[in-house]
Amino acid sequence: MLPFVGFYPRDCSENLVSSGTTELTKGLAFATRLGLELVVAVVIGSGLGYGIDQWLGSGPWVMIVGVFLGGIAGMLNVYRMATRNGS
Amino acid sequence: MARELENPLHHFELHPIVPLNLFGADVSINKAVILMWCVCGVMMGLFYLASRGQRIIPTRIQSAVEMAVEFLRDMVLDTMGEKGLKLLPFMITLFFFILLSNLLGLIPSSYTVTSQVAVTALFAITVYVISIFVGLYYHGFHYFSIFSPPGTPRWLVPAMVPIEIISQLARPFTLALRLFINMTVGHMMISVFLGLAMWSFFGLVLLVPLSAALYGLEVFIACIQAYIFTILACVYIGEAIRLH
Repeated sequence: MLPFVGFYPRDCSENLVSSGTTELTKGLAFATRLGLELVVAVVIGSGLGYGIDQWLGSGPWVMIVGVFLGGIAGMLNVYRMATRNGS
Repeated sequence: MARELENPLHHFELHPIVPLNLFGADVSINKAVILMWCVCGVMMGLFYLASRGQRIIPTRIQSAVEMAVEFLRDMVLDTMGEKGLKLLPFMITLFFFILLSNLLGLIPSSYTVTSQVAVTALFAITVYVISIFVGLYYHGFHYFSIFSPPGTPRWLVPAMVPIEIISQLARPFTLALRLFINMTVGHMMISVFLGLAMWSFFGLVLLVPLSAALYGLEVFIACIQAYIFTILACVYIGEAIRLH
């Protein structure tokens, strides 16, 4: 049905999308990801900690650790994104 | 329309049109289901028109679709390499489904399918499960070494494993939430501005043009969000192929 899908030899076709547009799109995609990556990791870390606390009856301690681990995971994700985007 | 202006969330409410029940689960046909059928129909029609009687000098529609497919193919090659080409049809389907869902939702009185977190979560979970299967297919159980990146000192491994688990779990969440939030907030802002515009003459003069500008921005965001979702799906699956 779609004979052209996946069968283009890469060198035979011109890149029809200009590199300026692609760079702008990539930049916007990168910018809109940053905030959410940080927040979601903290929410997941604290949520997992809260769940474990409820299960073990261990008070707020695992949740507190979860908040810190989530924060680190979020920063690690942003760092990886930045290095990947820069390269 | 008046109710929509009073309550900006009215646009996102779903009411069953044909109530259906399957083994206790509510599978009623509502506006979102009908819009998804429309998206599938438009997508199949578009590709049928583009691939019918392919010409060396392409028609406008063939040229547009070929350009989009070429763009997605380059994206897959850049992020996943040659091995990723097997997943190109999936990525093309994902991109066009999200793009057309976002764009059809901008037609007044229609519905934005991607403003339902259930829909975006299903896409995100599917992409994440595929990335796990791809990782296991290429690397076997060695794939789980993602939880301890290379070069991690041995004493740091007990701390790195939970951090990497959280980091991995954040992926489907961010994928689903980003698309859902962007599509919901854009529509809400237009509704709120139009609702406020009804209060006074000055509001009408100021906020109606602003709403029109926001509408233009929404068209741009609809395209950008489809691109972001697809490129992130490619990046996550690409990381599973390459491992680290």
